Amino acid sequence: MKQTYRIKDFIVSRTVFIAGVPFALIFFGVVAFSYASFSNAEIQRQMLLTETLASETFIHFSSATDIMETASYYIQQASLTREDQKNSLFQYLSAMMKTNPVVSALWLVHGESGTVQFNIPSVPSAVGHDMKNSPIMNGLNMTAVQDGRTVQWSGVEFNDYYKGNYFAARARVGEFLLIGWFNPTSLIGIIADQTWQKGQFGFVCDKDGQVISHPDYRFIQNRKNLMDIPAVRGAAENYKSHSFSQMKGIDEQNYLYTVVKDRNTGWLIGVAHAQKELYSFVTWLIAGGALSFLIATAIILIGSANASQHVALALNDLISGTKAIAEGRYDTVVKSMEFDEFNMLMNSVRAMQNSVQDREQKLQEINSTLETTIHTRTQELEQANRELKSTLEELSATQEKMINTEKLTALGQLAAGIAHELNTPLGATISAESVLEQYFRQDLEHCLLFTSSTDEETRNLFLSLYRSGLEKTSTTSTIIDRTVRKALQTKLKEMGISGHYRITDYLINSGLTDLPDTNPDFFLRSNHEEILKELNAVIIPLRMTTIISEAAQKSVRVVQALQNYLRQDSEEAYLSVKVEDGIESVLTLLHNKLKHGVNVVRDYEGVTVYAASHQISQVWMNIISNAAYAMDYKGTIRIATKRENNSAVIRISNDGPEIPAELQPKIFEPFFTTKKNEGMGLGLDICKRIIEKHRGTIQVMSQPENTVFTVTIPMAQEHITAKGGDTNG
Amino acid sequence: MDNQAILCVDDEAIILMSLKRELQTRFGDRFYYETALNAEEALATISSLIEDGINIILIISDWLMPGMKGDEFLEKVYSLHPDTNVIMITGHADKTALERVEQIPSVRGIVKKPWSSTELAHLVESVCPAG
Repeated sequence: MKQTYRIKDFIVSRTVFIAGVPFALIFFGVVAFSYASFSNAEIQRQMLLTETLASETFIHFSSATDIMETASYYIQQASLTREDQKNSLFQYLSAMMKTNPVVSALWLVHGESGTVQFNIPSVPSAVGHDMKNSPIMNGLNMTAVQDGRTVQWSGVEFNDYYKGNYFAARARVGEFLLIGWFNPTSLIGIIADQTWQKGQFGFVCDKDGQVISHPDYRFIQNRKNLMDIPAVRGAAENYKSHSFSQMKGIDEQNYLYTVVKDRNTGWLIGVAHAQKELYSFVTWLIAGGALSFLIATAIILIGSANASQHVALALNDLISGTKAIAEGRYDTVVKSMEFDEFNMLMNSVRAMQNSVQDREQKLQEINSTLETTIHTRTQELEQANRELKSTLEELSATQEKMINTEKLTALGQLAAGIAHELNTPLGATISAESVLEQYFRQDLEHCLLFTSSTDEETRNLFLSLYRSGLEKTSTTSTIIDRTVRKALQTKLKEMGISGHYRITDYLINSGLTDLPDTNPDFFLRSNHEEILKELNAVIIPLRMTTIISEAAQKSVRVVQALQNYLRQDSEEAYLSVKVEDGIESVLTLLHNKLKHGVNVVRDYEGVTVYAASHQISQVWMNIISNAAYAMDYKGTIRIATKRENNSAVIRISNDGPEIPAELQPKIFEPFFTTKKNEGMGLGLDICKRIIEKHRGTIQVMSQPENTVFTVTIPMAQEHITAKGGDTNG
Repeated sequence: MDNQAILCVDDEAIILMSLKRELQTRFGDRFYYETALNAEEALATISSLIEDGINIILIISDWLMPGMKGDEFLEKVYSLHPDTNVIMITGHADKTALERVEQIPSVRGIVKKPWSSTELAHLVESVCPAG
């Protein structure tokens, strides 16, 4: 879930984030830059001051050296043993010293004894004083010091009397040593003459870092060494340097030190400036900036908080207004708010509220009418339902009627063939009857007259031939066998018997075809033809009875097949049915259609199913007559019955044209037909339903010259559950 | 008259038998009576009889026959033996087929199954008048 905020928090935090952060970054950037550049300039400025201080100090001590050299010169020229010369030297040197503030006194000391010879200004008590142990004399080797001009500076000595550092310049004058006492106040004066800022001061150390001059008296008194200050140490090594560091013992704060080494004396002249004073301007700048920043931030925060407060209040109005609407208090008036957007929103809500109100009103109206409508609709639905039911019943009846019509149409088509099938035996019977009538009316009498008119021997011959003819119960097919007839004709012709056509006929009709072989002498008789003719006349009726019998049998077959086929309408009972019997009945009915061009090949295994036999017969009728029609009544129909996995499988195939692939799925649909004016196309639909009712399947597979309908029905013993039920599909 | 024959053609043996006997009974020795079960056999019989010097003056044929349809057979006979008359016997009442048959010049009459003996006799008599 997405993070959500209160508006106030969001605006404030967003303001601080968007305005405050960049501002702070810029501010601190500027501060850092100013600080860096300011401190760099200040270092340069302070270094300049330090160098000025150093050069003034240098000039100062140079003049002191001058005095020492001048004094040495005069002392050498004067003869100190002569009192007048000695006095005039004193006067001269005293006058010279008054012009120079650096050297406060000049002492002449005897080199060997170290006793003071004289001093200027004159301090009589000090004359004769032994200076040997004074630090001023330390490290002074009279022999190493050149006479006259070489001026050496001594170490620093703290003088309790003057409460300050003292040191001296030394120069050799013959056997004497001239000591010029350094005036420390002159150095203080040089330092004091500089322009100092607040927290800034100057100091001087000797080359070892020991303090010579310092504003803090304790530093001088305690002979403080400043070599541990990095800038001091740096300058001692490298002429000049600077650093920020603490001066321990004074206070804990940082100072900027700039230090320069005097080339003459090796003294280290430095300036220190307290960092807090140095950066007071920058500190004020930072403090002012930070304050402005804080004030600005505070103002922004207050402003944004105030603004968001307004927004939140307006939103509260909006929320309470919409909530009121949501709770259905449509009359709630939301006062005009500070913000145009919210007012627009509220207007939209009001518009929505109005439309909701309208809808609700309409909904209530609809609700109130809905019940009535539902009632009406329910009635209408019930009516529609009733109509649907009756339509369904009608449809069902129509379907039944259509199925019957289809059956009748098939029957009608069959009828012509059946009529022919019956006309043939009827025609034969009637024809045979006319022959028999002729026999009774004419031939019998004629025969009796013949036999009574002939002699005993002829009569006996006639009788024996008659008996043997009767025994030869030849069938109609052998009587008309052309090859037998032709052979007999040829034989008689070869025997030279006249009228062989007629005689052949007589012999065949009488069943005496072997007579030319068994009794050729018979044909030598003059009356052989007459005998055969009379014999023929009395045996013919027997042949006619055969014809009538065969015709009757044929009629019976046709009628039985028709009965088998028609019985279906009245009987729905499921019985054990031999599939092959049903197929044969159908073949009988279709005989007339099939006999001229269709070769029926049977491959029966003998299968029994539990079925309504007439319904199953209708399936065979459909498939076989369709097959014959499809192959234009020419070709071969193969009917195979087989037992496969407790099912009877009946395959009826023909070598007619292929059923187009796109039509194959349709042929089992109702009203599908390729025949014009022959039925409604319900044939295979009915077949399918009959087979399904028998829990079987019907399938078609078709390719050129081989279309196979395969019907599979459970074998009889497994079909008991189908008994009784589902007979009205 | 000894050299005249009537040929009966039908695919049903009992028809041939009874028809032949009926004709024989009616017309006796006036004609030879021959039978054939199909068109091929009929054509073979005709040529055989002609070899023996016997004329086929009449063919009584069934309409539907295996192998060759009745009208095809008649057209063939007509082309070979235009003088041979034909009487058609049919169990069908297919109007268009009958009209087609009637247009064949050699067809002199049509008889429906089952036929009346007298009717057939009269028809044969009219087609093949005695003397």
